[in-house]
Amino acid sequence: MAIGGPLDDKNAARLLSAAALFDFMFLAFVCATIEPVLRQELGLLRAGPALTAGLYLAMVLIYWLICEGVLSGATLGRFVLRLTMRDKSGKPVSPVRRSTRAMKKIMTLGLTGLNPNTSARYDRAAEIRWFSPMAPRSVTFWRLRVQSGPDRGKSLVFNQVKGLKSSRQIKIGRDSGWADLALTRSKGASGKHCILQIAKGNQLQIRDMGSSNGTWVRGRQIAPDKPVRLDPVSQFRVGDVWIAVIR
Amino acid sequence: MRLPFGLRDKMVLANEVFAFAGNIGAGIGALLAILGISSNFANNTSRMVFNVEVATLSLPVRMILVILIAAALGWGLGALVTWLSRSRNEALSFAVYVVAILWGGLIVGAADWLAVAMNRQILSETLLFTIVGMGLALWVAGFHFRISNAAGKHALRLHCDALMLCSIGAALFMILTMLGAR
Repeated sequence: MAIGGPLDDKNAARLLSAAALFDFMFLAFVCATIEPVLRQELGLLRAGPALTAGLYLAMVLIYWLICEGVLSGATLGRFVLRLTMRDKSGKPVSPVRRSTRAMKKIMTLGLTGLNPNTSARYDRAAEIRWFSPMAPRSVTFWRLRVQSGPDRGKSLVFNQVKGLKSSRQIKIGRDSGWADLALTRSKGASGKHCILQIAKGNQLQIRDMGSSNGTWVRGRQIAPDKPVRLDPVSQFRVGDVWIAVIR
Repeated sequence: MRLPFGLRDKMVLANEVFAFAGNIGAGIGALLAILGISSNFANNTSRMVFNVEVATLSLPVRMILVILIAAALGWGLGALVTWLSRSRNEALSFAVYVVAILWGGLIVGAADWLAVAMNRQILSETLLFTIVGMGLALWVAGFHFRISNAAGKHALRLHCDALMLCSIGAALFMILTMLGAR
């Protein structure tokens, strides 16, 4: 399942509120289904609305314990809205972080999570980010995937590139000491073949480093040392190796 | 052999066709949902549309109807909010909030229309249909937002607001429906 991009605090809070409302409605259905059975079985046919309220609160507590304790924060509402809990780098949340979040949530009874204008305190304390497929994928989560040749299947997530934030470039070539995406087995690629640059507005540009077999974009060989805009295409050819940008 | 037009153009065309079919479906769904609400208001016992008393249909058939209407409503919400969020007009942005709340009401209205009268319900059909309808509509609307590729902070904020307000609208209308049935 595509996790999409990170949501900012306000958007995450809004979607989590929507998910919580959905969960409350689901619990109302479960409660309405089992309440008549319980009344009949326990002989509480005359019991007032206090029984309904008590049962609903108990259901909320049980549901919350199951979702937070067993299902790692997944609820029906979050599943419907495809909200995924991740850490700041977009990796699955570690058990330690998850426990911290659960502890903080218990301490506040989860009440800070009901504010649709800002993220919950326990999420901030545990440095949790919420991801949604609706949010544009951050450039750091884009990746390159080799589509052909002996290195086929090799991929590189942008955030794995050392110093990407400052250099804003990804080096591609056969020389594993130089290249970020090393095509060690592809003979058609030169040692220092080309550089992919992230320009303003996250636009991608490609620059050939004077390779012997050339770099090809839109079926044309690009001139050496001259950056060429890659967008909107998502594929280019390094010698005889096709590489795709997956955004 | 060189294709007459590129893969990208074909995908754009397929997307347009897909969107057109979706929008037609959404229109029909919205009409059915409005019909459901209006027939409920007009006469709370008959619930007849096209000479078919809906309550006499079996549960699976009514469930399929809920699913179809909810999918159409979700697509409609997605299309409408996407269109409104592309506008720079503040008033149109505000319309997103009204549309989202109304859409929540339409989902509950459709669910209530397709459920048997509340005092005859063994299973809480109104709630069940609302949850199934809401879930599907939210999922489809979210899917529409994702494929519409409307990047930008303003558009994303409106999309999130729309989903939240649709849930609030559905919850409010659900409470009103249940209170009204007592």
